[in-house]
Amino acid sequence: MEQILMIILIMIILMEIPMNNYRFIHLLYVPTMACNMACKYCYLEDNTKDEWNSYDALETLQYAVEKFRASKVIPFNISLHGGEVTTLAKEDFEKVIAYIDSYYKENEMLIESNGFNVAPPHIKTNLYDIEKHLDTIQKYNVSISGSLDLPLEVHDIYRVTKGGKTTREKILQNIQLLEELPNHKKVSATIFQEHFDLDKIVEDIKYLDQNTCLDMNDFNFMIGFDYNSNGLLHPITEEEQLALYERMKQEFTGTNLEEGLHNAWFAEFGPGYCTNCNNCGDKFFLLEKNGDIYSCVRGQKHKDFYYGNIYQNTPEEILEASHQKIYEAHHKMPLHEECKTCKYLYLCKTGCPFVKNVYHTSQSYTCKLQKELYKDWNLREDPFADETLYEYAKMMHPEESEKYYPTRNHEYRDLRELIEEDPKLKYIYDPNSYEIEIDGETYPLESQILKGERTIASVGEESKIWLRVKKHILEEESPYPNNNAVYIMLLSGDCIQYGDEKRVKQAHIMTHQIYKGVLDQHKKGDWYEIDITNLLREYYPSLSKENPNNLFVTTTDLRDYHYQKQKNNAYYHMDAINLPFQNIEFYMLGGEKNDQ
Amino acid sequence: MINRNPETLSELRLVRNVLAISKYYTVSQEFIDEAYDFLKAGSSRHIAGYTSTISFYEGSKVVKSFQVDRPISSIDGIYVSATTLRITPHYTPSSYSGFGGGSSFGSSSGSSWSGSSSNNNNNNNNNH
Repeated sequence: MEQILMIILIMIILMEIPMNNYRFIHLLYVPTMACNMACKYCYLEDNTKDEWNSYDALETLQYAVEKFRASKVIPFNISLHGGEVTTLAKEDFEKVIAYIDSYYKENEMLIESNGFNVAPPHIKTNLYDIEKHLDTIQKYNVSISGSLDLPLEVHDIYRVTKGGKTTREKILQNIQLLEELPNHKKVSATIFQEHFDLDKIVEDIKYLDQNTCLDMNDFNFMIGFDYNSNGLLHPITEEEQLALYERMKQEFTGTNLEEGLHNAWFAEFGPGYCTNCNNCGDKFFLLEKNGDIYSCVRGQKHKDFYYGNIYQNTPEEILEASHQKIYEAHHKMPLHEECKTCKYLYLCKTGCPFVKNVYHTSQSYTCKLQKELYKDWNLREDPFADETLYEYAKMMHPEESEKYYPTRNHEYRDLRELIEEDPKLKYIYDPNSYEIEIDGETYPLESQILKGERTIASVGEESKIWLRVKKHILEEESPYPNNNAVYIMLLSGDCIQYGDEKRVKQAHIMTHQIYKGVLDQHKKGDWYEIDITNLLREYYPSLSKENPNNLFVTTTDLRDYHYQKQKNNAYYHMDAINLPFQNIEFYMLGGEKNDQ
Repeated sequence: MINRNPETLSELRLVRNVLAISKYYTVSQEFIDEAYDFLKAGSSRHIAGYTSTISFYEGSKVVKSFQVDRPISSIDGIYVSATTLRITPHYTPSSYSGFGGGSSFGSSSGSSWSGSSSNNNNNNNNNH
C-alpha cells in the first residue's frame, strides 16, 4: 500500500498535477509592434513600428513565462498578436512558434488537468504576408485567425498598405495558399456603421464559405466601439446590433453555417469570453516585446490598463495591479440601474471594463444583443438575481453593496411574503415605530431578522438614553389599548444554554412593561418619549463587557400575536425563530480595557 | 490594543469602534492607532472594510486604501466612524445561485460558449 502511495506521489510530482495553488492566465504576446499594413482606422495609430531593437522576441516571451511560472502563474494559452506577427523574420517567427509548441507539450498535463484545453500555437494576422511563414505554420500546425472587413468592398477602402494600395486581392490569394494545409483557419470581422450593409455581409460570408478554405462556422463577429478609429468609423446602435443578429438568423438557419451562427459567430457576447468575467485582470494579459504588460488588445497603450513590466516588476506586483486596475475601471461609475434588476447579470457581469470607460457608462455596450443571445442559447434567467447582484456589488461596488443585501429565506417561505399576507404582523416588523437616542445620537429600531446589517452603539455608565415610541403602536392589534404596554427586553451579549431544546442564546437580563396610562404622560408630537437611562443603568453590571448586548422593543399585544402566529404557522415559526422585534445592539464601554 | 489614552465618553466609544475592526481583520498596531487618529480628526471621516480591502474615507472620497492580508469571510463589511459601528454579516449565497458554486444555469442547446476551443481575433476566451 505504501509503495502504491509513493508511486502516486512521484507521478503527481513528475506530471505537475496541481497540488498547489497555481493561477492560470491567458497570455497574448505581441512579438513585434511592426505592421505591414496601414489600416486607416487602426487602434494602434502611430504605434505600428518596431522600435525595441534591443529586445528579442523569443527572449522576452521565455523570460516572462519562466518568471510567471516561478510564481506559480501558468499561461494556459499563449497566442500571438501584433503589430503584425508575420512581419517577424522567418527564423524569429519559427523560434517563437517552436517555443510555444514545446511549452504546450511540456505543460499539457498541468494545463488540461486544470480544465483548460491545449490547442496548437495560434496567431492573429492580417494575412497579408503570411506566405513566407507557411513552412513553420505547417510544421507546428499553427492555427490562424485572420482579420477582414466585411463587406469585402469595404476592406478595400480601409485595409490598405502603408503605400495606400488595396490588400484584398493578395489576402484572398494567401488564403488560397493555406488550402493545402490541414491547419485551422478562420477570420473575424468588426462591424461599424460603415460596414452595415447586411445584404452584402451575407453575400460575402457565403462567398468565403464556398470559395475559400476558411472555416466559416468558426467566424467571429465583433461589434466596433468608438475608440481610436481616427474618426473614420462609427459604432452601430444596439438596435442595429440586433438587426445584424436577426438577419444572420434569418439567412443562415437551416444552412451548413447554422452551427457557426449559434456558436462562434456571436460567442464573444457570451459568458465564455473575457468581456463577461468578474475581473478580467485576474486572467487576461497582453505582453509586449519590451516586457510591458497591458490588459488586452483594447487596453494596449492605455495607462489605465497598463499593469507593469515583466523585466521590472514581480508577477505578484503585476497581478495585484491588474486586479486593482480592472476593479477601478468597473468601479468608476455606479452600477447601472438596468443591471441591478437584470436576470442575466450572472452571465454578463456588466461587460468589458475598457469599453464601459470609453463610453462613460456602467452597462455593456452590447446589452440588448447579449440578452437576445442568452434567450436563444437557452441560458436561464437567474432565479437568484438578488444574490448575484449582492455578490457582484461586493466585488466591484463594495461601498454600495449593503443596499443589496439579500433578505430571502431559501429553505422556507420568505418572511416578507408572510408579513405581506398577514397585516397583523406589520407592526411587529415596522421600522418606523421606535427610536433610541443615546447621547444625542438617534438610532431607528428595525427588526433584527429583517435588516441586512447590524448597527452597534456604545453605552457608557454616564450615557443618557431615550426611548421614543410612535403613539399609534399601542392601538395596533390591540383590543384594549389601555391594557397594552410597551414591552422592553434586555439581553446580554454573553450566551447561555436554555431549557429542553438546549439552544445556546443570549442571556435574558430584564423585561419591562410601560403601560399606556404612563406613556400618555410623556407625549411629544406623534411620539411617546421616555427617559430609560435609569432603568437600564440598574442592569449595567449584568451586561456583557465584551460582546454587543441587545435591547428589543415591541408591545405586549404585538408580542402575543407573534407567538400565536408561531403556533399556527410552521414557516413563520422557522423564519422568526430568533426574536424578531425591533432592536439595537450596544457595547458597554469599559470593555476596551479587557481588549487591551 | 490601542496606544492612546481615551478620556471622554466619545473617545471611549471611538476606541471601541476601532477595536471592532481588529475583531474581523488582521491589522497591525500601527493600523489601529492610525485609524483612531484618523477618525478622531473629523466627523466626516469613516473607515469601511470589505472582503478584501479597508479604505479610509473623508466624506465620500477615499483617502487611503489597504488590501487586507487575507480576505475575510466572517462578515461582508464593516463601517466605522467616531459615532457609528455597522457590521454587514456574511451572506452565504444559496447553492444554486450563480455565485454559490452550484449550477451555472447552463445552456442545453449545445452552444459552445463555455469557450474551450476557438480563439477570437481580438478578445480572449476560456473565461472559466
